[in-house]
Amino acid sequence: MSQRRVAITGLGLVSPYGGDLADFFRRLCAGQSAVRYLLTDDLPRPLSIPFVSCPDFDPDAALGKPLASMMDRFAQLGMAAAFAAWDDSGLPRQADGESRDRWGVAWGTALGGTLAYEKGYRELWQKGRERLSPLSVVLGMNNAANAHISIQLGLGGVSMSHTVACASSAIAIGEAFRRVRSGEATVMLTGGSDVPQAYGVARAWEALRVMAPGDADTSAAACRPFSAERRGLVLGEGGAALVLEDWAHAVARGARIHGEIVGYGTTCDHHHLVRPEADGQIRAIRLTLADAGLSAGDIDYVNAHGTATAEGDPVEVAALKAVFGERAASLPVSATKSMHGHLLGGSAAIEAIVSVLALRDGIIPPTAHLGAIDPACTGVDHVTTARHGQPLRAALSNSFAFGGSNAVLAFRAVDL
Amino acid sequence: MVAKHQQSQVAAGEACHLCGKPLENMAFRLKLPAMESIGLIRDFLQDRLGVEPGNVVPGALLAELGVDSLMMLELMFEFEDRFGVKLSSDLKTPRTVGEMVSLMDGLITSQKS
Repeated sequence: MSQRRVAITGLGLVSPYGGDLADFFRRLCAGQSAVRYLLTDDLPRPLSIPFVSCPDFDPDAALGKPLASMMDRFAQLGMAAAFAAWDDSGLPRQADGESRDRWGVAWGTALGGTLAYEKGYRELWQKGRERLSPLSVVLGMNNAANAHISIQLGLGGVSMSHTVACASSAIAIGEAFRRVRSGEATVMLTGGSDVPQAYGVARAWEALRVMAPGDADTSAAACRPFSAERRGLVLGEGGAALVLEDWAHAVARGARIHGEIVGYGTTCDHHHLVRPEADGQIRAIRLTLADAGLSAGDIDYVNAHGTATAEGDPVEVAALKAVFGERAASLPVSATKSMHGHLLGGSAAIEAIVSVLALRDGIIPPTAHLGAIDPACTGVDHVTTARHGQPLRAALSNSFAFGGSNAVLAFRAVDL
Repeated sequence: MVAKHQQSQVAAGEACHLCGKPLENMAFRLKLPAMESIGLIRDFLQDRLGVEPGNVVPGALLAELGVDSLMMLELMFEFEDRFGVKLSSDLKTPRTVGEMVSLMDGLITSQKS
């Protein structure tokens, strides 16, 4: 079967800034952080961390009460992002004659319905209740988001979720891309969502000593990838979705094409659960370039994994330098997690959207709060303030997960 | 008629396991006289599904109000919880609001006796 070109025809997210997609990208390019200080009333000790929330997200308003009441927040965020991407693609929510039996969903989530389970534990162990709601199972299951999306959009093909820690949605998008490229699916809705504010989850990340500290005054600038002053990552909740479509199908219906997804590569360090190895990342980037038919010289922007951990950032820069060689010094790189935080299973999806918008609009968003660059992270062109009017041809988006799972996506601008 | 509501045994601060709202504020957690069963159903359906209370009349089909098999399980669960009873597993599932009212009235009567 001949390979199809894969168009990106829909982009959607639940913005931590509260506005729409254009507003989200504008704020990123302005270097505006969505990180805020989160203080909960959890027992026995509240969470007191920098965090990215979506406070303006109203599930009842976005989804309607009956649908929202059947979902954990991770699925609500995912469904809302999926609706936004679908509406953006111009496809009707209800099938209009054309069969959708080969259209599918590939979602990414690291945690799934953790909040539903956590609520259950509180009921049982803190409040002494003996029974749990019969809805707990369908709220908590990891495939809830993709199942709801398939039902709501009438998609009869594959419906699945990928759980690969911080690379969950990169792998979801990559697997969706392969299905459209092979002709197996005409349209794939893909992306990811997560809710890391679950008490046990946030506490567990704290215990790993990789979370940046912060209070009401300092939280906004708490996440500083590649900086000499970086103190760790900042978690965030959210959902982001893309519509991948057979190029010919998109053109035939006159869809607006935001960009093209052209490559995907995934590897495992097979080395250590949490200490990344440059070699696995190098192989993933090279696989992706080869898959895309691109050379290192074609890449005009890299959206880095860049979580701002002590260990992770220098390894990623080392991998980029190994792949890009002499070109590395002039390779524009930014880590937008400095502003939208680390959405775990939603991260790669929101960063894929950022990469596509960068190519489409010719603007490179910055790594925020990057003053003094860590000497261990130098050797690439760190973008510290947005660059406008850039004729960008192609971009990579890196996702390097705990477990040593690496996934890289390649995108190309439409008109160049 | 305004019934005199009597608080059931809800621990202070206890929240609904599903929506997280405080249980003491939810009307369907209150012990009501039998004739108020329909009010209780109305409150539940409004809270969970956003159903207009005026549409919850004895002849209305629960399915048409948006109560699917999962929500029916949840409804029954709430009633079991509230009345401290276990519904028989071979119980005939009510189809209409009226049948649900009869079921609840039966539960309230059995609890009183």
